[in-house]
Amino acid sequence: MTAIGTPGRARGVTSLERVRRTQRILGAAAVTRALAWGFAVALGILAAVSFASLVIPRLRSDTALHEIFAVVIGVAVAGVLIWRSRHFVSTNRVALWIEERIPELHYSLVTAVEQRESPFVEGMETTIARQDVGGVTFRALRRGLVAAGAAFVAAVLILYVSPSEAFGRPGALSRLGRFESAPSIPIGSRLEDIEVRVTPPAYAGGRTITLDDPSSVAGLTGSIIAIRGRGSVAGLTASVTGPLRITGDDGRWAISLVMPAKPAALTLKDRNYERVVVLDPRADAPPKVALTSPVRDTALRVPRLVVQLNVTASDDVGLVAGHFEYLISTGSGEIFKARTINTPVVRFGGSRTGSMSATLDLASLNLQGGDVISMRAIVQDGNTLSGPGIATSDTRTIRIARAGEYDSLSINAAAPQPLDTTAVSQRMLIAMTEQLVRDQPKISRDELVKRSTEIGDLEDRIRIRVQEILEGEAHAHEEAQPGDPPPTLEEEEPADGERDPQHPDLRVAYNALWDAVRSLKIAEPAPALPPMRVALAALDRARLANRLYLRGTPPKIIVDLERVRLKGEAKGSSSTRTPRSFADSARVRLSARFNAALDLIEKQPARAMTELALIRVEALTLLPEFATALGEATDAVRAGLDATLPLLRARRALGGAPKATPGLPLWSGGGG
Amino acid sequence: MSDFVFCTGQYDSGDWDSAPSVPANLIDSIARYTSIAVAPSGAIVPLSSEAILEHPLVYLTGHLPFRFSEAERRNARRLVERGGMIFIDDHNHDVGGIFHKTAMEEITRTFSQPQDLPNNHELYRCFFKFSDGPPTTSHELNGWGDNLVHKNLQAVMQGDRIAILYSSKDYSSEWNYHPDSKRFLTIDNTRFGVNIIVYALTR
Repeated sequence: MTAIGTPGRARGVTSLERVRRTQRILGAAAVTRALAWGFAVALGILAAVSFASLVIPRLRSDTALHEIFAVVIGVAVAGVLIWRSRHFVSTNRVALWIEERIPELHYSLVTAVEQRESPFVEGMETTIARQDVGGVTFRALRRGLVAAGAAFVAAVLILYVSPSEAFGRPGALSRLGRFESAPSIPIGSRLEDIEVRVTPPAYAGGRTITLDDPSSVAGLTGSIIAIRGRGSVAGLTASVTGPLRITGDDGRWAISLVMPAKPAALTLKDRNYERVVVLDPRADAPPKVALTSPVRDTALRVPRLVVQLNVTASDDVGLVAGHFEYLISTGSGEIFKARTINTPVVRFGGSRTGSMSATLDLASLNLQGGDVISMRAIVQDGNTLSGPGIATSDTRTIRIARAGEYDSLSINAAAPQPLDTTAVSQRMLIAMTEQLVRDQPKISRDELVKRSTEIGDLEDRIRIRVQEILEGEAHAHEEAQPGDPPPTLEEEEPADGERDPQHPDLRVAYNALWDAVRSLKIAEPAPALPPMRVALAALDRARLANRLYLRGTPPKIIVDLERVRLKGEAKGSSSTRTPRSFADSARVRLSARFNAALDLIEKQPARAMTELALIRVEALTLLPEFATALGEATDAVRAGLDATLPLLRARRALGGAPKATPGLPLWSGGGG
Repeated sequence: MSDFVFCTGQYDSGDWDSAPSVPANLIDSIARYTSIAVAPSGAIVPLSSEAILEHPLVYLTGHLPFRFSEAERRNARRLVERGGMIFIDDHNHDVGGIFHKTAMEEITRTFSQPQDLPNNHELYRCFFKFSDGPPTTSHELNGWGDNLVHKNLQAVMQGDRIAILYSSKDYSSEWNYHPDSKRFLTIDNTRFGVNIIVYALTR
């Protein structure tokens, strides 16, 4: 560079070479200045956003956008500055630029560059060589370069003192790849190395436990949590659902709070440092009660029984009291009343397991037929804070049968069937036939035939009645008109399965009645008696079958869908269906938040840790397995260990084990 | 797509089978008014069985104490979590009755406290329109039970859906007749049952 402005060496340098050297210097200066201003503007924007985030916290949520914005503006500024310097690509313009700053040249430089074949070039070169072109060039560029450099340095300094996570911490600048640093948790704040003491509620009778620098605190709901840390109290804040009071003495700060009923996040802040401690409440479990006797429900014909009731109970803290409850339901049809009897309270004295028993004499309860006694045990624990926890055993019932009711059967009060009259007649005819058999040795043949034929006609009427029930009256009348000889058994015998399969007893009765009629019509009453008795028994079974059904197997009605399909007169209008929400949307929501937190873990670990802690708070209720795995992962990150495996376990827990379960395969939701 | 099977839930503590004709009657109504593919007879499924989870709607009724065993409670919760719906009707139509008291206690214990369902809820217009909310029953109007006309049904919501629908109106008595007898009615009183089924299947 010194050669340009040194007259002693200028003799070997042409004016064109001087101009081109100056052109290169101007170009380099223009690029340098543009880059410096571009960086200064970009860093200045980041610093400004960082300062503004102190007032507007939501600016911290999307730093990537801010960085992109800063880079774009910086590039734009640099581009504009370079564009403004575009004229230096022309040697003539550079020569004019030099002439402008050295008027003594009197355009000899421009002329020498443009008219290199002129006979006056030698003189002009001499004139040009006398001028210090290089020195003038540097003096002209100095101010602009110094200003650009100062702006760059100032921007770097401002960013350094800003709350930005740049310089030594991964943050904004690390995204630009210029200040990469190893991820780590911010250290050095007063929020590190805290000590947590958890004192269980008095009713639990547990010991105080001390935790060193935990990421989560577990304890019974209502436990007293005392947190202590090093440093003064000034500038510290703490909040759960609202701000907490922080006390300080002797160079230490302290917070005291009560373990809430639901998982929560305790947020501690020290200037720009933030730490989230997960509060993991353990609800006092209600007692467990098992009714060991009686072991099953039962029905009694008469209310005479002494019932022995035995119960075993246990609790994680301690049992206090228990009693039996008898609920007696009286009534039928649509009218039911109930009364409750409680036995005297049994005290357990705070033991973790216990048993109690009682004796119930049903005779003392003045029970009636149809009454139902429901018995259960009720036990409570010693939770005086959020309880008491109350648990009930399974319910056992004893039912007193109504008069005439068979054991373990529920009578459906159906109207008497037409068969009843038939059955009564059959019973009478058997009696008449038995009498005829007894009289047979004493009466004449004509008398025997007459009385036997009369009984046979009556029996045949019963047969016709049964036939009417089986096949319908019209068909029956066609088959057997009065006075017609009875059809043979073979003629009436249908093929198997052709007759109504729902009345097998009636069919048996029908066939037996045929046998009886045939014997009676040929005056042989004694052989008629066995089939008559078979018919009576079958008719009785059919009558009972029509009137009774077992509890749990109500009569099954098959709807003829084809007959009624869309035959209703009223018309409905199906409105637009709205899609159902996914059954397990909580898992989906947590999964999205978990993925977003993992994206942050390398670049903004502090923020990622906060987010993971908050996810864990929600997961403690919804997905305990995931919350446990997540706790292990956050502990590993805090300890500077490799958290890959715990995070993988957390992800597996979040995804849930793939398994086939019965569900709502086709009618279930998941969209319209 | 499989046919819809009307499911009556069998619970251990009471007379779950007190209204045996209701399923057939509602099946008849579904076929009569809608094109929903429905099985011609209902199913009776123990609430303690995992088979209950295959049904989108479970009907429970009775007069006697209504208490779940642990297995029944667990399956009821799972059914609701999977998007199923349980319709519980007090066959006593008596808010002072033992079914109502024990059912409310059990629903609160298993799910949460049922709340009044607004009478402009989608349930009342998802097929037939009931401008005044749940239709009254003859038992209410005749002064049976608690001698009250209950203005609202109660519900436990799962998100924006009804998970548990509770009725003190005694639809079990109102609908407990053979479907062939429907022809004697001027207005079919089972139309609201169609709304319940359509809601359970489509919302």
